[in-house]
Amino acid sequence: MMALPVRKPLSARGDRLLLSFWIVLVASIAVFLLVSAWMLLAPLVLGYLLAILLSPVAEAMDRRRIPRTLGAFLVLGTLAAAIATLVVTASPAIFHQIQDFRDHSPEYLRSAEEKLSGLMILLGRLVPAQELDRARDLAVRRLTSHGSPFDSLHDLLDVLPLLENAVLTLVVAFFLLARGAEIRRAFMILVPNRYFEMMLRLLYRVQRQTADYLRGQCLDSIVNGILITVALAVLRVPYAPFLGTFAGLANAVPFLGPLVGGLPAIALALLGATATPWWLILLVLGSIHMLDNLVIYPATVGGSLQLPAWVVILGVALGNHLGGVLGMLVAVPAIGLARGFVLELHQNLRGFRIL
Amino acid sequence: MSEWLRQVPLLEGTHRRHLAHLVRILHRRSYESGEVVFRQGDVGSGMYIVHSGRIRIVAEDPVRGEIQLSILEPGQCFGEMSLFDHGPRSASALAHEDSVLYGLFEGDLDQLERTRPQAAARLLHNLALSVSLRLRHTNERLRDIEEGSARGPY
Repeated sequence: MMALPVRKPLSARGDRLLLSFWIVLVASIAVFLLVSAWMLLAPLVLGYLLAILLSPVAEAMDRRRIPRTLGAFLVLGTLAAAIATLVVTASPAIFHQIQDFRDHSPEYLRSAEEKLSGLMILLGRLVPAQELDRARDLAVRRLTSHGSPFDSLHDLLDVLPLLENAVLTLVVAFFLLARGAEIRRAFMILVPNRYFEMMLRLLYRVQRQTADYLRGQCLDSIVNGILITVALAVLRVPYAPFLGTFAGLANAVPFLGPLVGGLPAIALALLGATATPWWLILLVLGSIHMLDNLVIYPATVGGSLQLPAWVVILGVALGNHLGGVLGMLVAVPAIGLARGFVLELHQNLRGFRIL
Repeated sequence: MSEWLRQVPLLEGTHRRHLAHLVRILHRRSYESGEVVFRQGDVGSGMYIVHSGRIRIVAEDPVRGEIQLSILEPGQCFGEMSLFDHGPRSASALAHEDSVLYGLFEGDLDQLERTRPQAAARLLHNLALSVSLRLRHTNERLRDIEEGSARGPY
């Protein structure tokens, strides 16, 4: 009779040390890859996330006997058409609001100067007057510059890589939606028997965790965005749809998000853009935030990412460095998911007694 | 492949169209004689169907060493309990000879439930039958052991 191969007994000691080692190793590799190949990785990562987000729709079509390829095409085609329609129909309103803001910006600046006169006197003592004037001129130029959204050919060329990335993202999402199961199975064939079950379990758990979080967070951001838009419109704060959309997106970042999302509306009130007092706006936004924390977030996302504040701040800074505003929004969820991956990996390695 | 799956007791009553879908989901794995499929105590996440070869199921006992529980032939399944409870494996499985297995895991079952709910319901029904038969068999063995010990050693 064949005997089972002997395996080392499990050691409970050093568990925390090993976990720390794994976290540091995976985080280092992730940061290195992000920094060195961000432009290459971005469409892959975004395509993967988009495919995860839309997979329930593709699966519902599959259940109704619509072939996966056609289903993926329909899902992404509908999404692309919806975004294009939104851009085309909303762009005149967007440009109108931008123009309106620029027209009113000298008033806002005057109001800001009046209200911050005490602070300017203090700053005048600390900073040379020449520097202060230069900073003010720069702010005025930025706020009052007129013209089309694409002031020069250079600006237009800057948009091209974004479009290129968007198309690549859609292509990656299409292949993952249409042939994701086959791609995963083809990958699993390469994994040795010893690690096969562990790897399969790891991929499934991480994907499920990512899907739950992404769908929950999207729903949370949409609900928050709508609530804030309606609240600001009722309070007669100008640019309510933009401010609501911005606050909804910013809500994806824990700790800093709700604060940053609410600041523009309060700043506009302080600058006299609305008759509504700033403290009323603060009160309403604070109430919406409380409602989110107590009801909406637990119902949509469920568990928190449980990241310490310093990790969030570092993540946002790194995200900004790599991908601007989009990078800032993606960074914290990405770190949370990477943390979940490491914890799941460690748990699996222990469960399969590889560690 | 679909024809072979039709003969697997676990998939009895599954529609031919659903069997074709299952073919795309199942994971084919080859094991050399003596190779470990999984070990007792490992975290489990799915079950296997023997396609060819034979699989030996062994319990590892700290006092009595290895206890052979059964040898599985083509068409038989093992590891079903982990598909439900994702708990540790209750026994080890080794290839008794060169074998080919088809694996179905929690992610695959999850996907099947979402895309082919009828096939998933049939599979779960057959799995419940299989597990209840084994439980009944275990109860009978326990009763035999109890009766044996009640009669005493004389």
